[in-house]
Amino acid sequence: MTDVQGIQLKRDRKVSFSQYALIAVALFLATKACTLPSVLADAAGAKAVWVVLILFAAECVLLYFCTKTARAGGLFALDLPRGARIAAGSILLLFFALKLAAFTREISTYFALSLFENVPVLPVSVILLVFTCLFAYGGYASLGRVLEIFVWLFIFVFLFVIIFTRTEGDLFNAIAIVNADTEGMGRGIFRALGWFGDSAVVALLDLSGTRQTKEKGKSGSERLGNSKILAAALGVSCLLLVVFYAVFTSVYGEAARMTDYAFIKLSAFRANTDELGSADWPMITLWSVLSFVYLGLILLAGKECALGIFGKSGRKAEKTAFALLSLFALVLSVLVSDEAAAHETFMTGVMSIATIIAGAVSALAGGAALYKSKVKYE
Amino acid sequence: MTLARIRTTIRTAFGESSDLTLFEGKVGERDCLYAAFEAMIDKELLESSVIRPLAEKDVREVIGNTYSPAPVKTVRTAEEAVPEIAAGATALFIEGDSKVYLFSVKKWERRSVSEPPTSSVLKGPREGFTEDITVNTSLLRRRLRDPHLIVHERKIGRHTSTAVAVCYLSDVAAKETVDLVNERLSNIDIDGIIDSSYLTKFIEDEPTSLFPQVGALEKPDVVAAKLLEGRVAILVDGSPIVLTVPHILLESFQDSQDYFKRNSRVTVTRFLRLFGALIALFLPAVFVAVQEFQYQVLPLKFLITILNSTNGTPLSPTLEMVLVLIIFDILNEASVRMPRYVGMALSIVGAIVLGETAVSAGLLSSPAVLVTALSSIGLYLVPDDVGTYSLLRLVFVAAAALLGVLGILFAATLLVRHLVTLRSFGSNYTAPYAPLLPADLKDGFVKREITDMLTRPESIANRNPTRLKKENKHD
Repeated sequence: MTDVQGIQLKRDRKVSFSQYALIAVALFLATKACTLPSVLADAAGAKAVWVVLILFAAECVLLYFCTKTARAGGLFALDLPRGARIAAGSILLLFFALKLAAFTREISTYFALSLFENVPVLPVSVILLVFTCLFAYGGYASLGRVLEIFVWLFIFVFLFVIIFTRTEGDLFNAIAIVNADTEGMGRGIFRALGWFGDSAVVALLDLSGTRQTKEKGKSGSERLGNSKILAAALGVSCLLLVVFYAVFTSVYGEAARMTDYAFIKLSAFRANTDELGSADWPMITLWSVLSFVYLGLILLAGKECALGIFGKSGRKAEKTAFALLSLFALVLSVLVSDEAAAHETFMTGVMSIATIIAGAVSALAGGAALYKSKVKYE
Repeated sequence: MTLARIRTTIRTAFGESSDLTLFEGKVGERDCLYAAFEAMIDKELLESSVIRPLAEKDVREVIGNTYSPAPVKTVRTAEEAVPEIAAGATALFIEGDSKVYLFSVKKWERRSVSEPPTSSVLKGPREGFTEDITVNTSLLRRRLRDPHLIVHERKIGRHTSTAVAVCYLSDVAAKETVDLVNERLSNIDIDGIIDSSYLTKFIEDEPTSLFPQVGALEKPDVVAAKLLEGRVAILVDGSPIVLTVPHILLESFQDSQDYFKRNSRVTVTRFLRLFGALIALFLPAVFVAVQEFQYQVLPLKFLITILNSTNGTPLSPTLEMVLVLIIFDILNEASVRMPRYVGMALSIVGAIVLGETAVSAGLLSSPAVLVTALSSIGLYLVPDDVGTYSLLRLVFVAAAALLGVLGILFAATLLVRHLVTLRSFGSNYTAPYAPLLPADLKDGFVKREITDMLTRPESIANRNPTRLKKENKHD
């Protein structure tokens, strides 16, 4: 039996290893490419690349622990006291709810500003959340499959951009990246933490079946169940992020902090506008799909936490969880969007602290899974 | 039961049908009664192989003949013989004999094997299936001269008793697939099956989906190739369309002629088909989105051209596009239903007179007509799914009218999500791209040499993955 016959697209947490690798990459890339650069430029300037790399390394460690949890069947399948599982689940539920609120607002703002020329954000947020619920209802595996299709779109757009794009960046701007001065980096790391910690989603997946399949030593596409694939995927995402930040820095220089969103000035990826139109549009298409998948994964993870805490299952419980999480996200995003200062505090303060706590909880759960598996093995 | 009683029973069973023929004869010294539908039997064969020998010999001698042009079987009562007579058998009732003898001397008008109109080829086999299941089975057997080619026939339809044959290679097709086909066919309890398309809705995994999960083919060479990949074919008496399962999305972009051409040319053609399908789906929607919301997507010169062309048209871009698309679909439907020559005239009227006049009169803009024409040409690069894509492009136009590019992205993402969750008899609809099956990419959009295809497709479950022995591969 190949992956095709072996993994049914049920609405559960089970995904194949290749889908898991793509989900991990999507979680790494989605929010960092569009909404983060200006925050980092404000705090760390040209050294934003280093901040991203440091946080990326921390995210990799978190992913390792979360993968261990997933290998054991997911957070709620861990051999831990029920109280510990519920406590961990509750913290992660709050974290995912905050993430959903924060990034629904960020992504909606981006669409409202750049695609609709300053229409109110609230209707866009409502539509985006409704769409996300519909999209996420297919489960993790369907989002993984969407990402598998997305890879081909990504390759096509990337080639298109390489062929038709001429960047207007000044490499002298990027030289500051290698500056040994560490001023602002610590502040940049703390302020940017809210954009990280997404790997906690992986702790809710179930990779136990995939492991068993691999252990049987079957051939064909199951050979994809190899950590080298994930390492390669993460390496590529890291490289893409570094290139993106280098281009961003070289284009904007000191003005980077003034750009609300990386794509919005239509400058980082300028194409020959006389013949083809802006190459930003394929990039925006690409990023939009990635952001849909990202929101879908966060919503699904939140739902899994909610159902795990209350011990519920079934379609009705799923729909209720989706509805409540979306409502919470909508209300919170409206509240924190009222004032610029409140939004700033939420994104670079509250979210950073929430990420530290959720990251610690996820790492502890992964550590417990690792310990239990070693004890069992011995 | 006397012959007079039997005559009454048979007449009553068929409601005094005027085409039922009952005539008396002799079997040796005994009286007998024949019952048949005259239009469904070969009268000469009946006379020479049944009536004349029976008049001269004993009945056991005639039916004991192991090689007879008129095969015979027996039932016990007149009631049991009724459905067989309805199916074309000739029943023989002999005075004083408790058995009823049923001779198969069927004959009715059949269409000869010819090139199917929907799958004509420049190069390659030109034979197509007919409406006769025995002819269709023989067309397959001629190509697959293998004892492993299994044909299991069953009857479906309370009134039609239509013969439905499940056909597969027993050493290639996965047992699970064959069992699943048989199980789903067994569950059908319907009054009648007129065409194979009736079956599709009963056996598809997701009957409400717009996308077909069962292949519909008219050429025996293509079906034979599918059977070699591990698929199962379903033949239905009275239909020239043979169903194949599992069916995946990629098959819509493949053509039988692809295997008779150079690979580089086929690769380009397959990408053109994909590009055509994408144009068909997205071009009208993007045109609406660009005019209604995101005009900045277009280069300035192109934008000015569009604005000049659309200036003065009374309808909004959305309404204009919906109108043109619906008019195209109406013309399409009319040209399909009209007699062939009238249909051609209608196409010319639609394309030139209506389009040209509407633009000249200022009712429609020329870019809208151009976009619809390009989109419609794209539709016909995927001829099996014209209806599906035609409907979907209207949905995309609606999404673009509501939310512009974002609406298109929402609709496209949901469409992809729907496609990746579809399954056909255990196979993933979007394989080999999602999930990625590298071995199957050799016959994907980029086509490799047949000598590179060492294994059968992983996307179709099969018992025997080896297709080509390694020693046959060129280095």
